[in-house]
Amino acid sequence: MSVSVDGAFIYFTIPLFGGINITQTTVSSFLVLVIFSIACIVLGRKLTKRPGKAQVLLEKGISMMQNMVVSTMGAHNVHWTPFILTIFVSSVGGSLIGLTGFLRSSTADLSCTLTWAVMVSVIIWYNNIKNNGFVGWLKGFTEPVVVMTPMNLVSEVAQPFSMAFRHFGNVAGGGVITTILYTAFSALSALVLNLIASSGWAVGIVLIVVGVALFVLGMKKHRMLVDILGILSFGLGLFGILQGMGVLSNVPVLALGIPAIISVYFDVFSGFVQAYVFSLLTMVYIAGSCPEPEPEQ
Amino acid sequence: MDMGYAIMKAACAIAAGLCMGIGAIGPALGEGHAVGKALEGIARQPEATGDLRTTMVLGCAITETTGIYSLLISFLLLFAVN
Repeated sequence: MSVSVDGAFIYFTIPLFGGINITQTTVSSFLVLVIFSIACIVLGRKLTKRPGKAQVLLEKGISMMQNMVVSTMGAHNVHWTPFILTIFVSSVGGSLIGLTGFLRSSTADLSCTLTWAVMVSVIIWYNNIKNNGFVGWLKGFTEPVVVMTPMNLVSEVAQPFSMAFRHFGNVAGGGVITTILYTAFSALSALVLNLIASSGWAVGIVLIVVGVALFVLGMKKHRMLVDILGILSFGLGLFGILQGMGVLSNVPVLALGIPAIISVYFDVFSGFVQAYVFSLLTMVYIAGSCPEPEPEQ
Repeated sequence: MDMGYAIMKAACAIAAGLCMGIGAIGPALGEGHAVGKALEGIARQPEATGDLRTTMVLGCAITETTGIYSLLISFLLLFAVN
């Protein structure tokens, strides 16, 4: 059994400016954009003095983000909150949209994360030039000593790449590992089912009985793990017998429970952490280019 | 199968294993150190647990980057070389 890992494939090409490719990434990221825009419009339309449930949640989230921006960037940079929140939300949405199964995570494509990282870099350069002047910005590369200039130039170029590759690598790597696990468990269950099917009816019936017993025991004692074992054993017995009769073949029974737990770590947790890291680094870098204005005498 | 192709595939597999194995050492040591220090901090000052945990997860995610780079390289070796 072989595992194949592909990038985002191209749905169709718009014949403009030498051909614009509409890939899975484009579709997913625009879908995230549309979903969050509609959510914002719907939630923001009915703002009242005495908030309902949705408005309380919304205000809680926005004020959490505002507190984070104030504590990382300082109170004079609080107007960056919408931008940071947009990056955070589109990163989380782009990572989680892969869980639907038929759409591909938009952040599992380097072009998406690299676009965000380059965007952040351009904003940093713009702010640096605005605050320090063009000459001051160029002078910033020679600090602390002139010898460090090549190093500073390299780190300036490497910064967006590092940000983009961190996010892309985590999401794409998690996806590949989950795919490999699913394939491995399907192969294993095909092997076990073949074994059961070839060894006759008795083994399958014993497995079904054991599975039901384990399930009932787990239900009585409220043990989740025993329940899962019971379901797996029941499934193995049932599908083994069915395969012996030649009805179904190679149902991936073992791929039911265990890979899901790994997938929760790699897709859900990692998606949130990477969105948090990306927006925090954005905040730190932008705060570095927007120093606190001098108090007026 | 062509012999040269087979040798190239085998070399890619070995290289991917080596890349991931050696590349995982650094981040593992770094993250272990970070988590250990964070635990020391929590033991000394339990009221700062929330702050410490957030910063630790963030630091771990940034430390992980080098490991992720080697993971990407080994995926490239395994799947992209034909």
